[in-house]
Amino acid sequence: MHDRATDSELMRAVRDGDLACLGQLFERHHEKVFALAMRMTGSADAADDLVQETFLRILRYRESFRGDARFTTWMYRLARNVCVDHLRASGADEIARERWARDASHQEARDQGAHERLAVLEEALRRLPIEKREVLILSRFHDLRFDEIADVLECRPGTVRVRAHRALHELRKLCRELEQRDHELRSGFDAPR
Amino acid sequence: MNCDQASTHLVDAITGNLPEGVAHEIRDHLDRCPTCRQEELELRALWSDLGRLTLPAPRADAASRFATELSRPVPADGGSGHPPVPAGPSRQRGLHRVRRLAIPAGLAAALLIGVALGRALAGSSDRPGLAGGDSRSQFLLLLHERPATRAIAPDELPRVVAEYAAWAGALRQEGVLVAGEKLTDDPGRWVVPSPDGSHARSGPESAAGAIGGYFVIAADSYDDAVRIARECPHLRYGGEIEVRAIERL
Repeated sequence: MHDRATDSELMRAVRDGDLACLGQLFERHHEKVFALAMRMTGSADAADDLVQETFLRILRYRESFRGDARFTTWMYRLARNVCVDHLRASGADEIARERWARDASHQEARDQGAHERLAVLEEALRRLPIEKREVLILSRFHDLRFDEIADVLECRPGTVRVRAHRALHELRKLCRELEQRDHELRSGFDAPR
Repeated sequence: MNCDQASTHLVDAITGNLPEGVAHEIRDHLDRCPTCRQEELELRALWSDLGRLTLPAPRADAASRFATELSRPVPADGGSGHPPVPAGPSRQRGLHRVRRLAIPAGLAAALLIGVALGRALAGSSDRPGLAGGDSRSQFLLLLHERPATRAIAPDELPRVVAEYAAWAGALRQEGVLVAGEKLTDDPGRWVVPSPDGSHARSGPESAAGAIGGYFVIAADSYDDAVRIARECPHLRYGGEIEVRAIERL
């Protein structure tokens, strides 16, 4: 398959038996899948494994790829399902959120000042429920429109719009709460004994 | 437009999903409403900050790891063709599930050539070709398969992938690699003359001697092209390479 072939052409070739084309698709897109998995799970090790699992699902379910569909939408759908399966399998999301909340390194990062706001934002993003977090991630970090996200999540664009609206407002609220908590912690440390 | 409507459309606007024809209305409202304008500033700042969050890079050996997983043997209880039971997040369980895929022998070898090509030819708009003033000739390197070509142990695959990628990538950097393709693993078709006109029949049954892929390179001479071909990892794994000059018309 020519190196200028579109993603859909490559995937159709994979579907029709030319499995070497999967290597080209992997090279083109595995960083995107990693970024999605990393944002969803907060763990680079997990994200590395989920990249592997996503492309294996692409191979396993290659027959279900519709030739007229956009490859990245289909790939994101599989990747998102892989991430959600991982998070829900044994409460990994809850564990990660709790761990994040008490992880001293994040507290330390916020205390450094320069990165304080971004460290708070990262923690707030991790604390969002999956259904809100994934909409923000796909919109902000993968530049998908609401109708494209709806295709990934297999829901209506209106549902995505509502979730995005609630997610952004909840994110701001979480940031404020975390900043307030940090402020109180610092005040406690600074108080005279 | 009232504040509730503006609030709803504000997120549409910030995320780039504002319906056509609404932009003017929401801008009018924001000009008149300091509360909503403040809301817009805060949410836009939040959206902007999200874009500044950084990520670690994926593992450098992700592609070779994938090829390795595909090459692992199917266990005795695997390969039934039934969908696997979803596994937990454990890495080992996940990889065990991988092995249940009945991957045909040789698939990983095909994949790694595809990975090497994909890596070397990615962003092909600046790919070196033969410009008008380039005096070099083009040569076709045909990668013939031999049974030993595919006898690559799973543990060796990461290194083999890296070798193919390094070879093709270096050629590209040097302005030598013009094109490359991995051919499919089926026997192909032979078109032969017949009294009734040419027709196709299936290719040879054996994969031995089949052509697995090709590269087109730019070189000064046959000697130069052979020198380049000798560096190809294909030779180290039992394959053979046919070098043919491409005639310039």
